Amino acid sequence: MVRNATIPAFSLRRQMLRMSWNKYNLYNMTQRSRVVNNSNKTLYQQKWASKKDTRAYHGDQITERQWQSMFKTRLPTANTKVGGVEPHPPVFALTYAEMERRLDFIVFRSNFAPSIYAARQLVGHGKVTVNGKPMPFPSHRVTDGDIVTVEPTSILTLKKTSKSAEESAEASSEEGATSGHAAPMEFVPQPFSQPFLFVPDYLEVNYNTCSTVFLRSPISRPGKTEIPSPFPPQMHALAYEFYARNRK
Amino acid sequence: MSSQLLTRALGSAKATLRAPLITSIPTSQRLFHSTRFSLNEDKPEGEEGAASEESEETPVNKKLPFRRRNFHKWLQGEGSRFATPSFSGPNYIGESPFPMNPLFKPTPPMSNHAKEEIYRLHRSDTTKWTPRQLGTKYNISIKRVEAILRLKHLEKEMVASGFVAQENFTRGMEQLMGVKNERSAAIVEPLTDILPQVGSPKFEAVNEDKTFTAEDAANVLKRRPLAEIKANLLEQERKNPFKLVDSVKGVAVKEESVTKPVSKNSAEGNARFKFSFVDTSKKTTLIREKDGTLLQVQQS
Repeated sequence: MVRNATIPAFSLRRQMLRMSWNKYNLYNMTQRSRVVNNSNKTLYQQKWASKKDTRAYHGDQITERQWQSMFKTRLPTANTKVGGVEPHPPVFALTYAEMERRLDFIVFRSNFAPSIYAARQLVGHGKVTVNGKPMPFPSHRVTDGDIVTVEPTSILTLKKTSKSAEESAEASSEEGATSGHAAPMEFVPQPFSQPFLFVPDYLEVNYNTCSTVFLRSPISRPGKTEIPSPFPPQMHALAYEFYARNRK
Repeated sequence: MSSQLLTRALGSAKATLRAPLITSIPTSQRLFHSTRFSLNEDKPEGEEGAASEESEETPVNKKLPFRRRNFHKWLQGEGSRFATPSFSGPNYIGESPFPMNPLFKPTPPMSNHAKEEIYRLHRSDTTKWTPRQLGTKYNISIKRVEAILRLKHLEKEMVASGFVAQENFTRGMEQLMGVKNERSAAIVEPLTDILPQVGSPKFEAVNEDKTFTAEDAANVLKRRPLAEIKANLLEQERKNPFKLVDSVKGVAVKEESVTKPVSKNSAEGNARFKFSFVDTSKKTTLIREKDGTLLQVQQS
């Protein structure tokens, strides 16, 4: 796993928020309910603090070098002040939009894995196909309209029932037995996971086949942000400034 | 000198704390006769426990760090509502899933029932129930309708080839995310998103009595007028209507192109290759088969 291993993922002292259903992560999220007032710090200190916090959540397992090459200074602009329409949130909320195209991100956002690290493992172990073809590359950049499918047996919240195991055993022992009579797997939700169960607007998920379609890039919408992030757009703006200036 | 502590699981009766059991060694010397815990493996636990508690007083009374204590307090208090899922609807931390970012308000996805209906309607009459028509009816974007149709088509194919549809997964997730059958509760979005690249503002001096229409503005900005873009979109949809593509195990089956034979010249034949000539200006394709037959591609 390529992440900053010197800092524990779910440290109670550092309280870095991660893309995970872990109960310590949930606790940290409830404790960090107010944005810290950094206005007495220098601009660079503010940019650094925002970058530290947002990068701990967005693409924790991506190296800085990889992110610098992925990062796009040109954000999709929108007519945010046209009269009569609800104002759009600051467009800086889309700073980390490029990451949402990655295969491991799509698997996690569709709620097939309990954390981004588990999603990365699923992809790396070859449990994920894109448009029918196996794609064991977590960094694969998906195009609009691609269908991402995950094997149901590799999903943590799906457990094989003893009934389906029996039926499949019977089916295999009989000669020329027709498959498809096995029962569907049992859905066992993870404790402390429900606060994280939602699907972003740029994905269309079919849980019957454990497949997702990546519709389009996240865009600016009136009144709400599309990219799920624990941090407000102001922090994303500072992180954007950090990366826009720091391009070597 | 290493001093390891023998601790029992402290606090929580719900056994959410998994404190590791570590054996204790007297600090002075580790001798064979003093390593009694390994010798007394067969003896009942109660005896052993009592003996250990007597000798080690401070470790048992030693508290967890205050952060961990607070965590366990939260776990038994406010956090207990997250331990078991509530199947009656979403269970976010507050109004929105992220307390620091109230702007992120997720909408529950469409119900599986509605998606089945969309697929059924489209299959019943493809010319009448186009993605645009379905998007208008269900208040969702055309891209989402196309995605729903393709996913449902894939589902039918997979089930036909032996895959077991994970209905428990669908039902469970719908309950946990608060998916309702009412159309108003689900996601609402415009049919299409035509986003212009808004750059720096441009100023153009125009005579007071002259009219300045949208087309004039498009000319000045060197863009296509919005009306033209929309008309183009509709034209594209009419020329290439949305078609569900059959697939084998998710990989789309390529359609055979319709060809018309033009001529045959055996001298032009080639044992190894089949040539394809694409005229990009006239947009025609000619194919020279291995036996020398020349075909023109009518439609691919």
